[in-house]
Amino acid sequence: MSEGVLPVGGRSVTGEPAARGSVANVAHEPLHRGGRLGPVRTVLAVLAVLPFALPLLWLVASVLKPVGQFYAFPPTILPAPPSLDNVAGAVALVDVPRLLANSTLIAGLSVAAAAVSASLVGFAFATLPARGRRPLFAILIATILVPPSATLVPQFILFSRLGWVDSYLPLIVPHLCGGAFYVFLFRQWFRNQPANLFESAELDGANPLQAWWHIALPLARPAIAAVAVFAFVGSWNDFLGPLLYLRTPETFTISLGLAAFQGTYVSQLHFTLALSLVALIPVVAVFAVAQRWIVQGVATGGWRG
Amino acid sequence: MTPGVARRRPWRAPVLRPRERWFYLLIAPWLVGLVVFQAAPITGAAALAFAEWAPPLPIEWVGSANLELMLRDPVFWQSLANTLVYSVGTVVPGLALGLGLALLLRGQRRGGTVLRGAVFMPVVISGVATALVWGWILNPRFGLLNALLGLAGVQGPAWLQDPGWAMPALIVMGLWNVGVNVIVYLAALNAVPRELHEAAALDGAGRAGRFRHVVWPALTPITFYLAIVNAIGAFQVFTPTYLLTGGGPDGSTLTLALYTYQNAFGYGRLGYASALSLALVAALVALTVLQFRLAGRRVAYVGADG
Repeated sequence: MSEGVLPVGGRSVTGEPAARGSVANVAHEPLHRGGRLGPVRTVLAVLAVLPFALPLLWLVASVLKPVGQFYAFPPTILPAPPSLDNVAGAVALVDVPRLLANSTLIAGLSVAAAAVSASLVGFAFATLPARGRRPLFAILIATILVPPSATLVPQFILFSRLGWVDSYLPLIVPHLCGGAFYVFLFRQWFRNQPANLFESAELDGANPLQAWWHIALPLARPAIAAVAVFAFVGSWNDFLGPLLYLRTPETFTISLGLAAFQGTYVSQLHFTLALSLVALIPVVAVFAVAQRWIVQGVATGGWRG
Repeated sequence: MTPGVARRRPWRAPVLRPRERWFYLLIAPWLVGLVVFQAAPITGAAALAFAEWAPPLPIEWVGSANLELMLRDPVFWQSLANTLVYSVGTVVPGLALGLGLALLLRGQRRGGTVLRGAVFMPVVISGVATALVWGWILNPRFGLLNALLGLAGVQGPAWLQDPGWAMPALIVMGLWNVGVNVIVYLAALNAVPRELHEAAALDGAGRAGRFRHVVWPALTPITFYLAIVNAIGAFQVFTPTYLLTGGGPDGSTLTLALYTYQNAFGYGRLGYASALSLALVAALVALTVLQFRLAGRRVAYVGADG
């Protein structure tokens, strides 16, 4: 298979043949083509999907309206003429590039930390037999189900004691510890590689760390892509973390900045929504590019954004 | 290897073989995180539930006072009830909607990727942006929803400002994220062995029959998994109620997560907040056990039926 791509009919993130676990080739499932019902089903599907797309289309339409039309009731459907005045007005009130840069920095470091540590831990769970591995793996799976709010208060105390409040450390450092779901994704991926691949590396004198770096990682690009996208979206959208740990407005992420903006300019909904649109453009762009990896990762076990 | 050695190998205590040493070295980042960011905080929460602590004042052990206070606190019971309503209100319809959409989107040749993308898109959008967009749509004076209702001759309620409608509105916002379930169900549907379909079709089973006897039994494990994962997510709902309603009106959208947050970071009552977060975990465990019970019966029934 070609590296870095998840070909239809190739391997999914789990490493299983895509025909069993992947969504990418659902469209080619012959038994449910629909036959005569094809066009009817398509119309039904479009109607069913509409409520999911409509709020975002409405957001775009609203933001592009001049203020007078924005607050018209009953509302007009399309902006006439479309204008970027609301976006310009919002950008003039708050340092948007700064917020975007902060979010990008935090998300970028989180992605790097998560990908490196999770692939390392996942590689060990997949390829290195050891006493205690099975119970540890069971604990790993169990921690996927621990609700983060159970640990919220003591974690906050811990980070305040460390003097990490009002820094990015509480938002980034935990990613250095892998993240149970990401470890699980990598472990599944490495388990489905030919076993003798890593053994032969050992025979050639490479230690497991070298085997991970030189052999496993280059093979794991699709899994890295899935984990990177998940970690990016999760970090970019995180609200509670920045809300608890960031105090100085200049350090705010775009999500926190947006929430703060909404609180400050309560009566300026046209600016708040314009800023919302700006905030979600980067994730929507990532989604458009990486939909395949996201879908395959989600199909493997859900959403850990 | 000689038979003598293979017959009985004495258990060697904690001496790690080289490979094992590598294993523990490589998983060290996760192990450290497990202790520092999971085990220690959970232990800490359990301990703090029996204390009151408003830094910089010294910590004060209060025994079971927090738990007693919680049981007598009507706001706690209200937040627990709200959390349950929100969870049941999003998880059950979310499973039905997820499966329904998956069945509908399955095998869409034209634009299948676009349709799946449209359903999943809300999931990748931040909770803050989602809340603000829906707040705008639900706006009683300028909102799209009330405009559409007006076209049908219905006077829409004030939604998030109406004690009776705020929670249903939050539930609808929650269901906007059902795309995860759709994707998971699509993958599960695709994993149903084709031979089973063919065998059932040969036996004369129609579409409905094949769904009931072939597809649905194969989907029960993933449905069970989704129910648990969705419930865990729903139990922690925070952003929309924090941003849009602040728990109101009349506490109708005060969730357990928000009440915990208010106590810890609003009123500085870290001990009581820890007791509340323990209650959240306990409620979640109870719900999960209940789900296991129900699912056990259900799966057995389906097995006997099919």
